[in-house]
Amino acid sequence: MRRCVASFILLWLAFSCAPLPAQDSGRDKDSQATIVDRQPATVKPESHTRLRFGGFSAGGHYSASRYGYPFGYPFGYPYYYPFSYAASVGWSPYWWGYYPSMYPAAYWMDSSANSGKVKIETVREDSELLIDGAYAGVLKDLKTLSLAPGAYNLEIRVPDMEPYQKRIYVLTGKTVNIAPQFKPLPEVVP
Amino acid sequence: MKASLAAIILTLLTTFACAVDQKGIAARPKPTDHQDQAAVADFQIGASCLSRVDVQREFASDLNRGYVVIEVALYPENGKSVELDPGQIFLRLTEDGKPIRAAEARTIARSLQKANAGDRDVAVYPSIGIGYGTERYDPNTGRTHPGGWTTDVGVGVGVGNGGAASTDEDRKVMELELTEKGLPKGKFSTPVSGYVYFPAPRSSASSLVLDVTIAGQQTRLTLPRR
Repeated sequence: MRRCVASFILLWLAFSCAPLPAQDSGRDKDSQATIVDRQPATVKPESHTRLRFGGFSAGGHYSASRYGYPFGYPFGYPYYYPFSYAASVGWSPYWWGYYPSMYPAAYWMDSSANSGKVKIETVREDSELLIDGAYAGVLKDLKTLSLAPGAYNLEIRVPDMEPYQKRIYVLTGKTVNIAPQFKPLPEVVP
Repeated sequence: MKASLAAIILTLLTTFACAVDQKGIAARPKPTDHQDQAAVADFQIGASCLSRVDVQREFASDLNRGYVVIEVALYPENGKSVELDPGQIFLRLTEDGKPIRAAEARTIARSLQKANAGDRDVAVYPSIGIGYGTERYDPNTGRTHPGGWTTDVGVGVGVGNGGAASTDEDRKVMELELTEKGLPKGKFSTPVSGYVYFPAPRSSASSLVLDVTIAGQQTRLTLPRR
């Protein structure tokens, strides 16, 4: 039991904390000698394999039955005695609750299609967010946005501060992190 | 006559609507804020090489996949205007190395999209289960199974093709980003700055050489590699 828990924790730590292997370093060494005469048309960036932690699930099961399930009987077999209880919880960065915890991949497959993410570091929760000049909401509710690929003009308004403006470029499956820096409004001399 | 005039206006409007505005970036206050700088007849020029971290922070497009990004800024003297052409800027990986021409935004975007499309996404889903069962009688075999604790650990692996930023829409966005942040071309009388992208992977060279020709004046800048 302890070994199982320990191995699970180790697995989880390994996949969630380990940096993704960069393949560029290997390429640098062997191509340095021939790179000087490369022209734009000949550049062929290598393909990457991205390893990511999709989420985990933990389940518990209790059964109390003399004629027990599970012994290979189909559901509804006369000997089945429905005195059992099962519970399962799960977590996935791509899973927001519509799908059962045992199938986090289902949501991931849907959510990663044709959108990128924008994560905004919140300074004050009452900050207002404007996208391309249009009010999008309060930052408290919009710490992470999903946007279609494109270029957007972001503006964050905080009371008594100069608005923070930034042009961002959103790409499918990528995350743009924004840490806004605010300056106080210049004092108006009467 | 009216029809041809309308066609000309329509063509012009379409051209302007489709053209991407090459803005560049805000120039640093002084040429000395750059890694290297030089003063030539009517202007000063400064340049800096972006590190991998800088590139990651400044760009949504993954230019670390085979490109060196140089920030170039031109500071014309008061009242003078200078003609700038990014096509006249060349990079050398060594003092006597062959010159590398700057890549165009469209070429880079296409290349990156192609590379991204070949990426693989591997997602890992560990799971753990704990169970407890009481004594059970199996009528099939006539045996009684003792109850007790059960545990299980598993890992699910999902593999998908086509990485991030691999659609046609992404290519357009990357091209737009690289164009907008690129060093603009034209005649300038105020400081102007932007990025120039060279197709060269990271190497162990400690410094890079930038050959710049502006208004017939050639100058050489040496940039420490970061």
